[in-house]
Amino acid sequence: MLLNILNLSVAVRDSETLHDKMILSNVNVKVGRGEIVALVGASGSGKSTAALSAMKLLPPELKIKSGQVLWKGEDILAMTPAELRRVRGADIAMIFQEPLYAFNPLFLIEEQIDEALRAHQKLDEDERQARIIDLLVQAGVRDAQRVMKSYPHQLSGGLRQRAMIAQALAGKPKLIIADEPTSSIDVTLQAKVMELFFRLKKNLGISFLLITHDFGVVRHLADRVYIMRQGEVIESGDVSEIFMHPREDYTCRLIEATGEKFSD
Amino acid sequence: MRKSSYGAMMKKHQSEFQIALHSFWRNRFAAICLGVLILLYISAIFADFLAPYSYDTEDRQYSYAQPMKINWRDEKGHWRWPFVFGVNITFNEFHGRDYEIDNTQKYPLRFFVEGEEYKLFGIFASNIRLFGVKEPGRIYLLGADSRGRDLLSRILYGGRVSLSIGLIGVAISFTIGLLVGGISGYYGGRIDNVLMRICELFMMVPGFYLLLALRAVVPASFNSVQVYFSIIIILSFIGWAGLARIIRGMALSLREREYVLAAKTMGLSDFQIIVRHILPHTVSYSIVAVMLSIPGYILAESGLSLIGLGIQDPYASWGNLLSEAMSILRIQFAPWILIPGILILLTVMCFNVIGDTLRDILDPKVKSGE
Repeated sequence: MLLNILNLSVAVRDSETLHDKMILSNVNVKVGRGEIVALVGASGSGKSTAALSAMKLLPPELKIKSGQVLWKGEDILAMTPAELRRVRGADIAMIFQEPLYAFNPLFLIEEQIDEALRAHQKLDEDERQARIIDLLVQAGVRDAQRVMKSYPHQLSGGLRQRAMIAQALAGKPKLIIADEPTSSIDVTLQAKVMELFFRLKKNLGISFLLITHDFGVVRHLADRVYIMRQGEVIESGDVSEIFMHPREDYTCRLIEATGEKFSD
Repeated sequence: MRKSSYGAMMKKHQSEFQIALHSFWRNRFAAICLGVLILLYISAIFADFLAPYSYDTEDRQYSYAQPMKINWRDEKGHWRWPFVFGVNITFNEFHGRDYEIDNTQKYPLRFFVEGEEYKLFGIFASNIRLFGVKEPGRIYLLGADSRGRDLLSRILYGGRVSLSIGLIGVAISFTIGLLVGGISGYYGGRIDNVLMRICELFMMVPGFYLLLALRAVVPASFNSVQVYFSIIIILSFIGWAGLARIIRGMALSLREREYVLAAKTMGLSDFQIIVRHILPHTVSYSIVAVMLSIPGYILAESGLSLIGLGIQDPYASWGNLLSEAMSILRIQFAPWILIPGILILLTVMCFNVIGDTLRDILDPKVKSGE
């Protein structure tokens, strides 16, 4: 087991009533090696919070009440900042919904991938240059030479997405957390990005923790799925099983919302 | 009109910097001010070569000698190579000096003359000066001070101190201000609280009193180079707090950006994130703030030197040159000793104009008024 979130409860203190409001209660999520796991739920169901706590990146106003986040058996929540920096990027990487905002607008793509490289590996200038091109190609960029010399705003949405994936791959992570990776791009690109994830999983053995509200993506990509609602995991299991026999009414509605059931 | 300028922008892909540069040049007044500043800085750098005398060359005979005129025609009206007349000095019944232009002595202006030795940039020894006249004649284009030192030479040498103090002081205080502001805003919470209270401590005390108090700490035995650097350190010590507060405010909002979160997920250290992902976004504000705060340093140094706490005689700075002009009688008698004040005014004005213009260009909120 790579990542094991155990009984995680997160709360935010209401500034007016001073009562704790639970954001997550007793969440259990497991991600195995080479597995694609999806966290599905509506907005505000706590799926992003669960993913951020896996890297101990919760905003300061959110307090962890109880639980553990085990990375290969080690509790991430108990790590020192230096230990955390070794895990972030090198073990667990993250890609975001909107790559335009996830890149610093002031620097070239090349410089930003380079930054991720230097954070974890000791390579000289030439090796890093070669590696940047290599990473972009791995992420499915055809004209890597042009893309790396561009600023984020000069690229199309699809290329930006791939550049961001290249950046995430820089530290050779074992797990990539993808926060709504397909929500901001059109359907044809969605298909390509999903294909890319699948290829990365197959070729490099990378696991994915997919955060999405789109059951269509889950259906095509994920091995296992956790359904979240109001900070709780209400249902989990293999994707095919949940599709065939959803136990919860909420799950049925989520599946119906995508229209997947009828298109099959 | 609008359409055509839009078309021109699209035709040639311009970077933000190029656009800013373009609108800067379109503003004539700011461009002129920049030119004046460049001229002043160049003349300070090459003061050794441009000044006819060294800053401490004195000739007591010529105490408060008047500015000399360069003549092109002799008494018969013939055109001549430019020359200056000699002066005869006599004492009147009040023991004051009377200067009388001596038409019989002519000292032609000579260029690239051998004068006192100096080291250009502290490396190349030379004794060639741009212009001068043959001994025993002397040339005082802007007059002389009480000890008969050439004011022009002293202004050129003094510019080195006055002009460099602004730049170095700003460089130091901005480094501190950016770092403190960045750290304070990025971490927030208790660190922010402590750092901001320290900032307020510095901002609470009126600047000039703090300046005097800190100056009093500097040992009297310091030589002029040490005094120069201690003044810079004192000035930057006072100047960083205001900037830190503003940068802190910007950092507070910048740290919420998604690329900061992305940088954290890459495993970058907090310091790397502050330097790479927070501070670069404050640059357009910082450039303007730098330009507008340099005059403060120049004025503070002048103020200190004026009351005798700054650069000490015989070394020159514009401030301590002005200290001779503290008595109204002297100003009446030798008005040219006010010239360093005009230069201070000019420099401060130029920096302010450039700062204002840059703010108009870089701040999108005031752009619409263009």
